[in-house]
Amino acid sequence: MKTYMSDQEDQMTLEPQGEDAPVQDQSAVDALETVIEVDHVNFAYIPGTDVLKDISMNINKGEVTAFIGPSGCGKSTLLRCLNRMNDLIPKAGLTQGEIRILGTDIYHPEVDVIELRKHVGMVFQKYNPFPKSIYENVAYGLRIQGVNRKSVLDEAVESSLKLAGLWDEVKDRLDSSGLGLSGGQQQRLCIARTIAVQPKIILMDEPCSALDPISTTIIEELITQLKQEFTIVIVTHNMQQATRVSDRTAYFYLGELIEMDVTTKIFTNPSQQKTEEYISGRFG
Amino acid sequence: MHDIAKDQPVKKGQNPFATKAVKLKRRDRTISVALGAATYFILACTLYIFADITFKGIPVVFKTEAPFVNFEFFTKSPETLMTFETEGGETYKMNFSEYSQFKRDSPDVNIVEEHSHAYSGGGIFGPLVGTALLTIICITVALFVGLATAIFLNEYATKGRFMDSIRLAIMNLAGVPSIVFGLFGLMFFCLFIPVVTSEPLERSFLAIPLGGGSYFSFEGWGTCMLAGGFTLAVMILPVVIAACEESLKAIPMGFREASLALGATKWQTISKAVLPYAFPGMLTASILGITRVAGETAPIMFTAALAHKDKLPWQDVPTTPGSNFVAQAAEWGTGFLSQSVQAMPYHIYTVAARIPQSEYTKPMQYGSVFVFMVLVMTFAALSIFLRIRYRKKLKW
Amino acid sequence: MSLNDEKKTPENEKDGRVVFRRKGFQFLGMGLQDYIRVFFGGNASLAIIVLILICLFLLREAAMFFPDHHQGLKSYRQGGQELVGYVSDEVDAHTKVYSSANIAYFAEVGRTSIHEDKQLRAYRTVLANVEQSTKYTWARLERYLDEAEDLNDDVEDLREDIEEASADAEADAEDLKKDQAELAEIEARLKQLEPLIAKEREQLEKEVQTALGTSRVWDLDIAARGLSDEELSMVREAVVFEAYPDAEDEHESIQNLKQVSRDKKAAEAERLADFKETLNGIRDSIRPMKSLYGEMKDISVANRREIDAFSTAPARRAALLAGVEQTDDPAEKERMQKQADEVVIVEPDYDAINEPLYALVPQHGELAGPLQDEMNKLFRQLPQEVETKSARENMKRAAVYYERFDNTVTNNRDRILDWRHDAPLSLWTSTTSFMFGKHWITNSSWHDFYGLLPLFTGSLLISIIALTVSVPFAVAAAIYVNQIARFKEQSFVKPAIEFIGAIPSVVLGFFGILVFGEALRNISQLEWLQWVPGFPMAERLTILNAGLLLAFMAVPTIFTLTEDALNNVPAAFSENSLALGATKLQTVFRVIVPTAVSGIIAAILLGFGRIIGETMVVLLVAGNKIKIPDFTEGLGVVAQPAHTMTGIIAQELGEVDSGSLHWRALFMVGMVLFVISLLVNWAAQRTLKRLQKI
Repeated sequence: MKTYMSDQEDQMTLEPQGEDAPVQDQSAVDALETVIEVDHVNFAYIPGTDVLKDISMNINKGEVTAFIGPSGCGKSTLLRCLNRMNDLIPKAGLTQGEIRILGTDIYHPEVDVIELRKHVGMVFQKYNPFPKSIYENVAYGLRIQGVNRKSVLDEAVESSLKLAGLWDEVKDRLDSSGLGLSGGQQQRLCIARTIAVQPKIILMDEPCSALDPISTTIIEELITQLKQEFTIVIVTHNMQQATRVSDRTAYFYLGELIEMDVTTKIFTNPSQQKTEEYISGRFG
Repeated sequence: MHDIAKDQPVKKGQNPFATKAVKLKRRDRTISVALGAATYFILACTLYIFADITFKGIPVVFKTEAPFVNFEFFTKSPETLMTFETEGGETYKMNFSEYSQFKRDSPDVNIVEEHSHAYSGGGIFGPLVGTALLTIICITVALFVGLATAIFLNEYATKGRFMDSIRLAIMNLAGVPSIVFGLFGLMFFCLFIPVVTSEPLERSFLAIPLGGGSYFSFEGWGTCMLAGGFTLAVMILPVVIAACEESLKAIPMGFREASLALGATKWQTISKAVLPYAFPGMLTASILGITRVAGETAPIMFTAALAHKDKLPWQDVPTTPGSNFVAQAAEWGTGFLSQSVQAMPYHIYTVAARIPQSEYTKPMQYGSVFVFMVLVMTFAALSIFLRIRYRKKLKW
Repeated sequence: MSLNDEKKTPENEKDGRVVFRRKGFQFLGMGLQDYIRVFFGGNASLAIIVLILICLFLLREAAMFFPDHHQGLKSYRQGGQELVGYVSDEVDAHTKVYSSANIAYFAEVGRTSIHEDKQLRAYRTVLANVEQSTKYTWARLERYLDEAEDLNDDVEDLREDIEEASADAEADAEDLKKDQAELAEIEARLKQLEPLIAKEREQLEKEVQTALGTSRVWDLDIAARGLSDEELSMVREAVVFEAYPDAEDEHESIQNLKQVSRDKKAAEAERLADFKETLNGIRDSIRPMKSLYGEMKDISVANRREIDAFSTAPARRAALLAGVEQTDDPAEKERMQKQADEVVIVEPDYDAINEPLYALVPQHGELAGPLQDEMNKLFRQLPQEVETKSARENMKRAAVYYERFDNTVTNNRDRILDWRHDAPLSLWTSTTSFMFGKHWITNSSWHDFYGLLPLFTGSLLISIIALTVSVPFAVAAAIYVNQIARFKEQSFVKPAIEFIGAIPSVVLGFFGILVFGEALRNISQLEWLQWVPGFPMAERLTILNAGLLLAFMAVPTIFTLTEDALNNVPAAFSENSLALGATKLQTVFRVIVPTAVSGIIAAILLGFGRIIGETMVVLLVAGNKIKIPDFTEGLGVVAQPAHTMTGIIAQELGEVDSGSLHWRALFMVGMVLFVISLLVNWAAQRTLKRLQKI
């Protein structure tokens, strides 16, 4: 909880700046199917102090979208809005606008947040396998959906672990504790756990920031592979990482979406001054 | 981008996030309700016990006419209650002392039926005084030792075997049953601890002559409030240490560092920069201690408490007339501390279990329990309140 | 503060370059700061010292317990009491069989008159209530009535006298006058009595009516269950009739009822004549064995007296000699000296004193076989099919007891034949006879047994009940408060439950003895709760009562520690689980609780420690019956009273001589408690360590 509280504190005292609308690559939008539509969204942890201001964006199917920006710019907050993890904080909520996933307003009262989260999985910054066996960790999501048939679980566990590139490393010790793995392996286990539920979208909140460079590389490769099957939104501090893994990048600053475009364009030829300042390392 | 009005319902069948696991949700809600019910059942039981004792106790302690409080109940010590009937058909109910007076005053009254109810008359002054004295002794000792231990653990000790074993000992001490402390107190404080005396008792383990006719005799203090207070102090030591440590931990390291950096010695730092700020914690510790100690019966059963005692502890303390004032005061003090006392919990045990029950014993039973509970609960509430407040303030 | 006073020592002068030299007070190479440190350290080690002292004092008493205990057991054997004990076991086992069967018989006899008996019971219950609340008025009224009656008799006599006197002219006018005066006086007194009687009668009537009205609902309810309104009003009428002192005989309807009940019982008894006869056969079958037992017992008691006299002789003699030393009176001195000389320190001839017992052993052998055969025959003759529930239960019990009786006799046969009064007694035996001894009997004229088992079973049973009840509630409450309750609710419920921990145990015990025990017994008599084992309960103070109160006491301990354990589960676990689409409760039960499980186990262990060491509640409420609860009733065992390890210390330590065997036995019990508490603590620490590893 503490991680986004700090975001909010940084944000509170500052006035919104810049009215420029985000520029989008119109042709790409036409060609691709939109799965997430963020529509003029304002968000507040404490009513009255918005930390996200009038955000609008479309996220396309089968792409990796990266959110970048300095600390406290609201990128993690927006990510958590996408599967309503912010519901856990009392009083926090959208104050304006709506978010549509697969065409449905996810803050609509008829939306069951549990179902939503089955469709929109999340991988966290700090890898956190449950203190259970590797097998049970991956099977967890299915078990809570009431799947208890051994054969189904076995198959799902195997395919998820294979997809996460962990199968060869752990297939002989599925019954040992998930906590016994190395950091990178634990994070991949968490990814396997997430994809076992077969979500449409995977949100990743700085998945590599707690990992060493080698593990980071492995995870990045994994992300590029996963995009075949899933739509991925990733928050990252690391701009190189964004260039390496993402198709599109959105740059946030002080709760506003400054610019969103194809990654190569953002990093080579940003249309906004602020973006350029940030990626060239002048601040942030 | 297309706008959909917020209040327009999502069409059924089109909403991929519509609730599917209805059964699961219902089960969830049922379990939540069951858990809540268990919680509130516990609270309801508590409330019932309080209500029962309060409703039956209030009529004893309060009166319907002025001055509304039954002062006699608070200012007299327990006595035997006499109920009797004279030949004239009148029934009387009075304390034993009044009864003897009555018989002396009217020797010609013929008493036909007479019943005595032990401990059911008078009031609870003696037990209240005894409990207060025991508590004061206990808290003084426990706070002294507890604070010193906490200072050692928090300020001096470095990680190592010594500190580990102290912590282990404290933890184990916390789990020892109170009756075992009673046994220990009896063996150690009542029968063993050395005293300086002019004539050692026969039971003395070892009497070392000091010259001048006095001996250093391992004979213990006997059954007295000092022994009881010390026994209780040993028992609550873990609680007091924990509370004191918590209060010391709450003082920012910066205070100490600043003081040390100014060239103060360790002790100066502790006495000037640490202890003054630990006061609220010490207050909490002592109140917490009082709450636990006041209600304990088992440790004082053999070490300090009597079921019946005519005199209050300060009455009839022997002194040698003629000696100088200091000597007399010292003698009085020692004599006073070696008095046995009545105590509230022991008194309640006596009236609840050791006398035959009748309608005449009820007022004393419920009155005592009510007063006792109100006292202990006030301290308990205070300690909980202080702790919550203190924890809130803890973020310096 | 002296540490800043700079003193120039010669060394300092010599070597002025040492700027940061330690200054101030020095003694034995340590400065003031070191002494302060030692002072605090000393206080801190007090915890260790106290623990060691507890161990030392308990061990000291324990070390002195076993030799004495061993000596006692040796005397028990040397005096032949052990042998007699075997026989006594057989007799006791037989008595149990008989009494169970006997209860079954009476239940059967009363089978047809149940309805009448119920009315009579209701009548007696209500009457007892009424009598209790009217007893003073009743007594007064009775006295007045008696007086009035006496006076009336006097009046009649006097009238006769006066009549005679006035008829007889010769009579003494003086006497006549005196009689008349007396008559007038008595009549005046009678007149005086009239309003008094009327007043008391009125008072009594009022009291009777109130008593009838408030006749405790529970009592009446239970006694009168199944009675029709007519029958109830009849009962009331009879009670009112009986409530006045002028009622000569019982109400007609009650007399009728009694007659009917008697008749019906007689008819049943006739039907069950065979049963009765078998019962009588059982009762009589033990007679020869019983008389043999009596004979043997007398011998062994005498033996034991002799042995005890011998073993205490030196002490008595020493006391007398000390008296001689101290007294100044020469006559007294001489007397005591003489007494001291008379104290004989001659060891009894164990072979000789046991001779008569050995002589009786063959006789026992002759009796035991036939007794077993006869019991076997008689037991088979007992009716297998009985009608009432109580009879069925008691027959079942009798069967268990019969089995035990048979085994006892079989096992004892060799034991009695092989028994030797001089068989060596190992220290091990005396240890096990404490740890696993089945009897705790003190102040006995036969032999004092110090067996821990009855106390230990009591403590354990009560703790088990307390835990089974409190763990679900406390853990549920902890989960609720920690995971489900809103913040406001949390900040109110948590202190409230912690508050329970501050209720003094003696207050809870008091509540148990005065309110809860009665309520529990009444609840146990409800019709729809009869499936619960042990219900209806006959006693107020039982294992169940104590267990439930202790459960209440243990709730705050378990709750607080469990809540802590749940709190320590990283928030990320729950976040991860929710992000996978788990519901709140799925997250709680599949992730949070399993993660916190070792903390919860530690909480339960510490709760157990608290329960088993609790004294006042069990002392007040458990019923204090020193006997291993009768497990033949299955779970119903909880309805029995028991004694506990803590309770026995609290109850008996104040009443025994310090240094006696009994006193030391109590310290041994304390030692066992101490060891249990250390073990529980140790186990809790270990489980907690496992939690920290995660």
